[in-house]
Amino acid sequence: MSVSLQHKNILYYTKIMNSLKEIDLVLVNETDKCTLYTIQFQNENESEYERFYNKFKDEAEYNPDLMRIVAFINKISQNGAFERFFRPEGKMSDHVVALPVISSKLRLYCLRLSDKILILGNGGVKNSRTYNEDDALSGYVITLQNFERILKEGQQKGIVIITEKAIEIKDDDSETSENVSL
Amino acid sequence: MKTINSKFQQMVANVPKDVMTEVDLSFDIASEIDALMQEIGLSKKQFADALGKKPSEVTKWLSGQHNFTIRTIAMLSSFFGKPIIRVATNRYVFPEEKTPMVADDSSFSFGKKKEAVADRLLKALEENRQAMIARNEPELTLEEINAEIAAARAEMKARKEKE
Repeated sequence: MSVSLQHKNILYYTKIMNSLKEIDLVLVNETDKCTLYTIQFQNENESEYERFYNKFKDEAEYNPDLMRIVAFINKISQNGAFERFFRPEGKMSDHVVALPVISSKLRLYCLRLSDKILILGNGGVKNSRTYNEDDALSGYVITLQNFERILKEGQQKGIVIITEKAIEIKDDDSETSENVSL
Repeated sequence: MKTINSKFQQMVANVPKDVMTEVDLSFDIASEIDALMQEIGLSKKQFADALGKKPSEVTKWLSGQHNFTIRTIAMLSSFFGKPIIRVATNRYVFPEEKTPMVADDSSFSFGKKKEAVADRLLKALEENRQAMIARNEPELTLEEINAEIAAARAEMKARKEKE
């Protein structure tokens, strides 16, 4: 391998590690049917799912829909994150989905990696026809799309391991640049 | 790895009981429909076509978040030929599956139960007979109908004794 290619790989590895350092993967709940995660930005005190919850818990108009989403996520945790429970969002090439499927102005965006791994994101009130027309909603979707891309790149470089029902991210210390100079 | 499990449990605990029950019911009904579809080997499209519904309607049913009406539940129960849900008392759903009522309940004696089952069987046989006529198949004779009823009664008796 040429020096420049090796250098490029190290830079790439560093970029993935830095991206992963900016966002923490947070465990929400774990059962034999499904593991729920959420993500948390380094500059935030709360995870994305907590931010979503806290945003609407005291909003009289949206609280009933929020409660249904919370109860439904609990059911998913006990039974599995099957495709039929979600509304496909994002692009064909990603795994971003939304809750609920039924009519509701509230949307929670998630990353459904499999029936057994679900990453909860943030969400909001959907007043526009598509999420693309709303900057905040679009931002939540893009965040999950980017996180999925980081996970995929990390997987390719051996930094991220996705098993049947868990995501493992290796520490920076446990890796050497040799791991990425393949 | 950081965890917010205790916060998650707290969020779930904050869900009002009626909302939790509503979500439980919708989720379980959806799972039952999904299982019955798989049992028969029906795709979402085939299922929708068979019921004369749009696939998007079936998507809602299977989402586990749909607020089912009694009419839809009855229609689905009828389609699958078995109950989708059971009422807690089991009193008004599917008479042949009821347990005998209390002794002083004169409106529902064991004899009446048998009568109800026989009525149901006769109704089913009549429907079958009409279907056979529509298909230009030879009609059953009265003897054959009686034989069918006797066989069904014997089967019911055997099942009862087994229980």
